[in-house]
Amino acid sequence: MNQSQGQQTSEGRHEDDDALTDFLASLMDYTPTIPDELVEHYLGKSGFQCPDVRLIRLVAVATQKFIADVATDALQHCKARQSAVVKDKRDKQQKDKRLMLTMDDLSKSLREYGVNVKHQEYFADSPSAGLDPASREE
Amino acid sequence: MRSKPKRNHRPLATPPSTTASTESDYAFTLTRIAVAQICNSIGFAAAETPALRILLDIATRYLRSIAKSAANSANSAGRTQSNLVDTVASVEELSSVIGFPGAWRATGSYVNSGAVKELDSFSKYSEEIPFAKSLPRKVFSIGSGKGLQSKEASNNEYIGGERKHIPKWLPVMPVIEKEERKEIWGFLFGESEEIKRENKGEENDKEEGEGKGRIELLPLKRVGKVRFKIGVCRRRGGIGKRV
Repeated sequence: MNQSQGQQTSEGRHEDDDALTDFLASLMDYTPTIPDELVEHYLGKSGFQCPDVRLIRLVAVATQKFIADVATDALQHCKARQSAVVKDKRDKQQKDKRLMLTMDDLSKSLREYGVNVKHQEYFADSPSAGLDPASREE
Repeated sequence: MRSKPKRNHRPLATPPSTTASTESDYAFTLTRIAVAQICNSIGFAAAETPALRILLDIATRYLRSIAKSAANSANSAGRTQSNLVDTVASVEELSSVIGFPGAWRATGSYVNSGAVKELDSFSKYSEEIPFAKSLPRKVFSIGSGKGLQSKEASNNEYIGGERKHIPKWLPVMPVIEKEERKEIWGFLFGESEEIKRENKGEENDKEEGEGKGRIELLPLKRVGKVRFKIGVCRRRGGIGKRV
């Protein structure tokens, strides 16, 4: 029985090995959105040395996937926020239908990835800049 | 009370250093375009500038942390170059925040890594968006200055020629232009010039060559006389010269 288990694991490993080899071979034809030169530049700055283009593309794909995941989560937040708008403001909703990456959605999605984003709401020129004109006059 | 504290006399302090100031502006701009492309492919039509900036900062930090952990694991194994094992380990390390299939295995092999399988499916099923503009090759490499500074012939020397032992990160050796006219003050120059011209058999050139030779030679008789007199000048109390 031990032998059969050993055979199974070796076969499984063989399949995994093939899958990994195929993936690495497919990276030769794949062009990530982040260009190779740029990835190489950043990797080289942190002490990563590797002449293999496939590994550099692997890192590029990993980064691209991470950014895409974060952006997808932000998009879901954005859509949920838009659908939660009060329905009597139909006109405004039509106007705001254009999807826009905002700080609120991004910080919400990044929180799930362990990144705490804190930003200032705005910079005020004077202490009375954000107040209503009526209250400012008083 | 309208009076402001003293520190307001200074101009506003510069904003805290972000990626823009630490990284080169060129790489910063390129990454910005790439991140904007990714956001656009997800479905966003626009992005707030600070949001895009944060996403860009995170992208560069992600890249650098992958590189750092891969380089660390390579170094701890006694290697200088990172290989697949290091890269997969660092990818797994960074994706462990969200989790990936097979992360429960304490001693998982790099071959059947769930994180890499996710990357595989991502590259298979997502739309392939190449970068908006093509970049010149080796735009960032440190040795690229060599290509700019020296000619192609001397550049080949560094790759496989006489100077291949010189590391690439060193600046190029200054090119010393060999002087064609070695004997300027002697008579050799004029003679050799004449011989060269005669061999060509061009009489006009020969006359010119002779003329050139005469110009190079010092004149036999000097036109004006210059006299120096060195003596003690009593008035000033020092050694002076009179012309």
